[in-house]
Amino acid sequence: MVIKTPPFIYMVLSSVLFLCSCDKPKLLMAEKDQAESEIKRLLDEAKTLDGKFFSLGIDAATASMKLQMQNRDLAHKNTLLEQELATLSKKCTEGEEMVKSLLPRLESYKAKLAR
Amino acid sequence: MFEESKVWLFTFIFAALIGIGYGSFYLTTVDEANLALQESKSKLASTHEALAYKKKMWADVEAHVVKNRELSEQNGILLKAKDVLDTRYRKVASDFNYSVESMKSAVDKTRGGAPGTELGDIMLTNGKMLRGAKIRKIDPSGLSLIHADGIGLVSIDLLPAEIKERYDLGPSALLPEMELARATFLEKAVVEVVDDSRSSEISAVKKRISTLEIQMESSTKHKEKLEKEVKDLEDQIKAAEAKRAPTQSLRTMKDVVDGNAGMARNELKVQKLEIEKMKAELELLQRKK
Repeated sequence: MVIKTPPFIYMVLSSVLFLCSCDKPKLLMAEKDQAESEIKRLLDEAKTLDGKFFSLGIDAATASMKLQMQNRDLAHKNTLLEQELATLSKKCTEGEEMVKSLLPRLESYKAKLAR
Repeated sequence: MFEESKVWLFTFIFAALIGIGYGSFYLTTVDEANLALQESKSKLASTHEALAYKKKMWADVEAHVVKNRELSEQNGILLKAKDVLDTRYRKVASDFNYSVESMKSAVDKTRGGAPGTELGDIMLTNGKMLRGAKIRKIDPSGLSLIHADGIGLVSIDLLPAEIKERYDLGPSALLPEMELARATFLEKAVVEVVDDSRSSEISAVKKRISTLEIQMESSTKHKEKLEKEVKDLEDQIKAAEAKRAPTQSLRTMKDVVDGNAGMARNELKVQKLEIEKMKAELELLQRKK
């Protein structure tokens, strides 16, 4: 078989050139680089957060739970203190009233005694 | 040399081989790039997820820290309020103690000077008249009287109101009422908080110390008052001696008050020891905590 038609050759050559000039891998690599830089940014952000946890002197994994427990204890303590204060306040008022009612009687007794 | 057709054939085959080679290389490169991209995307997704989790944790921590600050501030306010109330409580307790001790002292003084007091003719509540009555002694059950018809113990309920009032006897007596009121106040004021932690032990010891301090404050006042009374009586005795006036009743009164002062001093010593013991216990508990 004898190939005499040069256009066929041109077609083959242009296909080869087309393949060579195609930049899909470059686009993919650019996208990958973009993803990598995004990862780097996110890791930096995570590092900043770790620094914040560290500055508080707490372990990031258990910090929330520890603080929650601490808050619960504090709230419980405050509730007890509030109850104690309410009781104490009531007792003080009662006591003051009692003293107030007893003192005139005492003074009256002492006055009579002095006579 | 080659024929033209053969040259073309060779060129075609050569071009085809190059094309296949490039094609294969191209596809491999695309595959590799795709794989790398997928890996990066997957890593990005997991980093995103980890960061989101960390952000959530930080948000939680921030919320807890804010809450913690609020609770601490509230605790500070409550503790200040407690200090104020403790002072108020100590003042009321001190007033109570002073009133009771003052009443006790007045009643003791009246009763101490009662033997030998002439009451004259007294009409008992049952209508019986006792002529020329004189107090022999005061008993918890009544008055032992010497009168025209002899000696007898008259029960409190038969005594006239004026005598009962003077010696603070009977159901309407003020001293027992005051003592009961004080006991009720002191007992109720110490709040019982059911908690089995060490903090509650510390709190209980602190409360005990606080109660003891109140008692000491009151005992000190009482002791000072009695000592002052002793001194006054001594001055009165000296003045009476200078005037060559009888001093027997003054001396008796002085002895009674002096005895009471001694008891008050002892009570104070016991309270001081107890408070020292409690403070040592508190220190131990705080160190353990």
